[in-house]
Amino acid sequence: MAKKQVYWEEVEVGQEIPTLVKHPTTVQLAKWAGASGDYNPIHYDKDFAIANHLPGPIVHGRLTFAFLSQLVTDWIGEEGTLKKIGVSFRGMHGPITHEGEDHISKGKVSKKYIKNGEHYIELEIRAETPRGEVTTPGTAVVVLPSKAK
Amino acid sequence: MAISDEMKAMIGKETEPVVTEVEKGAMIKLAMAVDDPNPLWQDEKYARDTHCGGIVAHPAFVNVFRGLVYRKLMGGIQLPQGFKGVGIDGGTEIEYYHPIRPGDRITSVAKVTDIREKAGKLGPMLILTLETTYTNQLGQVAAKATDTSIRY
Repeated sequence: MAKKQVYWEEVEVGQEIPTLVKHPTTVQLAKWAGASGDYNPIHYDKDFAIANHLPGPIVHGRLTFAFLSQLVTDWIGEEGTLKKIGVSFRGMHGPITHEGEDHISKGKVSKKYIKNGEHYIELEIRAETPRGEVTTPGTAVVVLPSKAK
Repeated sequence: MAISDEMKAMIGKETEPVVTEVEKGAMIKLAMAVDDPNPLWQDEKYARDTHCGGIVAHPAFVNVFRGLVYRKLMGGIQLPQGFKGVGIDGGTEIEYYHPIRPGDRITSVAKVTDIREKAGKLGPMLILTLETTYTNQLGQVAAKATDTSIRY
């Protein structure tokens, strides 16, 4: 099962990485609640969410974090290493229904350097709603394999 | 001023350690909840032949420990009068040092490193900066997180 591996030398500053489109539904939010231990009902109980001034169930910030992690780990491949990822929860994804809605994660290369013999890439990442609102901007730091090694 | 001396005294004070044994099933269940098909998170047979040498935890897995240790940390904080006790997750930054593997025993320790007051749309808000260290059974720091928690 050989997979495509990206190498540090192939990457250019300013380059976009492949977009990750997820489609969270209320079922997925319930699964995340169970797996993560975050049982706040604003993420799966419509009446409760509305009573708490929300439009309906919203995606857990930490699930958006997980999607943005996947965006990065999908791109760096098996030989890449995720060193750091940071995000700010500024907006929300929702209301989420049983039908769900698209949750779009994007990233762009912002820096490229060698430190202590390791080949670093920094990325600007963000999650967007289908309406183009950036809910969750962030950054990630990864190490990629080098062809020189 | 909403920030009492009692709250200020919280700054830098670490929680008691929370020790969690990492179950392989829990790791796989979390990857499935993300709907992330990467075999490194869930396919033992496949992952064994990679440089990982076996399945490793999804980057979001540390949030499982976070939930447990933060309950401990936030339980010790008395919010000022007039606060409703609503909490909003402001963001997180996680640094990874060692992969988390099935059977690891992770010790989570958290502390508040900063408390600021800010006027929000819904009245006064407190912005807390929290730092958590996740250490494995070999004494290696697996990950460190800096989180922002908003309370009003």
